[in-house]
Parts: sequence; C-alpha cells; structure tokens
Amino acid sequence: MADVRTDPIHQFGIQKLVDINIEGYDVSFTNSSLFMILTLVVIALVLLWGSSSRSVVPGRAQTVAELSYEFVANTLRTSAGEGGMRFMPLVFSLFMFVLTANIFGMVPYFFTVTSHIIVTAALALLVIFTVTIYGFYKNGTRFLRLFVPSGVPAPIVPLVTVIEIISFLSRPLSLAVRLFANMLAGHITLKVFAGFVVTLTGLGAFGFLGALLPLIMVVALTALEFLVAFLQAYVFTILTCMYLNDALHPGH
Amino acid sequence: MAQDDERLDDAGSDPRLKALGEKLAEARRAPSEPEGGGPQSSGLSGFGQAMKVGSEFVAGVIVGFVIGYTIDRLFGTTPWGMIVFLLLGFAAGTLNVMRAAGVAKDPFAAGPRSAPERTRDGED
Repeated sequence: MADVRTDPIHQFGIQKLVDINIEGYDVSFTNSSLFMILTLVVIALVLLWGSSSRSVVPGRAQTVAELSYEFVANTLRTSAGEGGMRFMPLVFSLFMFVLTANIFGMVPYFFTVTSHIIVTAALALLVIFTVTIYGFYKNGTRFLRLFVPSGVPAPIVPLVTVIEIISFLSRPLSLAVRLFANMLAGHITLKVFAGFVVTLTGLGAFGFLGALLPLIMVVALTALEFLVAFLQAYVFTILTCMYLNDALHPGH
Repeated sequence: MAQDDERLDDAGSDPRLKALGEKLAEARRAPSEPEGGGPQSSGLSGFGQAMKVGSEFVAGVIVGFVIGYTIDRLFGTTPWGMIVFLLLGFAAGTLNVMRAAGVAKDPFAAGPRSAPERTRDGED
C-alpha cells in the first residue's frame, strides 16, 4: 500500500468523528460534515462582521461582503432579469458555499467538501428541482414548451423533443460532475506532484536537485487551483442563474 | 451625529451629489460583461470553456445511456433501448456543446428579453 504521505487519494477519505446511528441509518458526524459546518460558520461570521458597521466608506470585511453581494446580484440580474432577484438568497448561498468550500480545500490538511460528488450532486439537484417546481408553479403546462423549440418542422418535433428532454436532464449531471471533477482532479494532481518532491528528496543530493522541477509545478498548480476554485464557483452560479431564467421565462 | 444627519438630508439639494448619484445609477444599469468574458475570468476563459464543453457533452451521453439502460431493464428490449437512447444522448450532448459554444442559438441563454427572431423562421 502506498505511503499515507504520498497517497493522492487518502485526502478524500471520510472519517467518522462521532458515530451516530438512527434506526439503522448511518448518520455519523464525519470530517465532511465538520468542514461543511466550518464553511457555514466562516461565511456567517464574515458576512455578519461585514454588515455590522454599515459605514458609508466600507472597511475590509464590509468590502468583501459588498463585493460578493454585488457580484452575485449582477450575475443574477444580467442572466435572469429583475424577476430573478427573488432567487437571490438561494443563488448567493450557493455561490458563497461553493466558493468558501473550494477555498477551504486549498488549506493544507483541510478536507475539500466539494470534491465529493454526493455534495455537488445535492447542490445540483436542489437547483434543478427549484427550476422545475417553480417553472410549473409559475407557468403551468407552458413550462413544457421549453422542450419544444419553435420553428422546427412538424415531422421531427418528437425527435427534437426527446433530445431536448435529455439535454435538460443532463444539466444537473454536468453541473455536479464539473464541480466535483475539477476539485478532485486538481487536488490529486497537486498531491501527486508533491509526492514526487518527497520521493525524490529521499534519493540523496542528485534527487534533491531533481525535486526542484515538481516543486515548481506544485507552486504553479497551487496558483491555478485557487483560480479554479473561484472559477468553478462562478460557473456553478452563472449556470444556476441561466436555469432559473428558464423557469421564469420558458419558451419565449 | 446631528450634523451627519443634516448633511445626509442635504444630499438631495447638492448638485455634485446629485450628479454622483446619476453616475452611480448609470454604472449600475450598464450590463456587465456576458458570461465567460468577465474581467475576473479573461485569462482563463479558455480553460473554463473547455471544462464546461467537455462535461456538457459527456453528461448528454451518460443521460442517454441511463435512460436506454433503464428502458431495457424495464421492458426487456435489450439492446434496442440502449442503442436508440445512446444515439439520442449523443445528439443531446452535441446540442449542449453547440449551445455552450454559441454555435446553435441558445433559447436558454437568451436572457430576460423577449426572444429574438429565429433564423429558421425566415425559411418558409
């Protein structure tokens, strides 16, 4: 078995911290739960701290809070319109959670919550159920026009409809898989290159020189990972906004 | 404090503040860059695009596979459900990619404005 220090998968292991068993269901408090709670606590503290002073010239925390709010609000407004602002709490929570969890994952020894597909899938399903339920609630059966594009010749409408339905169903999947795969692959790559450094330095002076190359890679990859952490949170948010736009204005 | 309040109340009458308010409103109204081209992601929009397009395509194929497999299991039509829906999933994946790349007209990303005329409408 690979050494724990260099095993790239070991970091994703779920460890039970508190064993809880309710009627045969395992609902133990794990390291994943711990970091989800930590994420929420950090978001809540930063936002509470940032919104406590309410000065005209914002301080550091207030700038962070205002910037993130404005950023998400603009994204939502441009892609889903003014009517989309009623989903601001949902979209803002999603953005902050994904972003903070991704950034948390960059801290050494921290667990990356979003590198588990069960977490990202739950977020994606939340989005898609919101879109579907709200779409039917607001538009009734007109929501189904989403699947029948206008201007298509009658004979191929059934075929196009099936393709559109598959396309619709593939959204939560691609939403979940994209975030999870990015975080997983990024962290594995980081760990693999870091493992090279550890192994090569064990080979004496010559290996020590050779270890410089993967070390440079690790530094570069860390910078890239920070970018990916933000970018994936942004992509998740903008796609959520676009799907919400469907619920608000289906079929046009 | 009382002075501060007074100053805030006076804000409406100060022409400079009014001009500033108008500028702010204008800046707020100006639509930000469309998705993918924002200032935050200018350098790596290519990378983001690649990830997006890749997962969109794979997702379409996987959903087609799952639907086909389920139909086969339910109705015992092996392998036809799988064949048909894998092809349809392939088509849906391609459609996803074309939409993500902006080649096909994306009815989903048209924004809150009313739908622009489709090019197809002119054909008949």
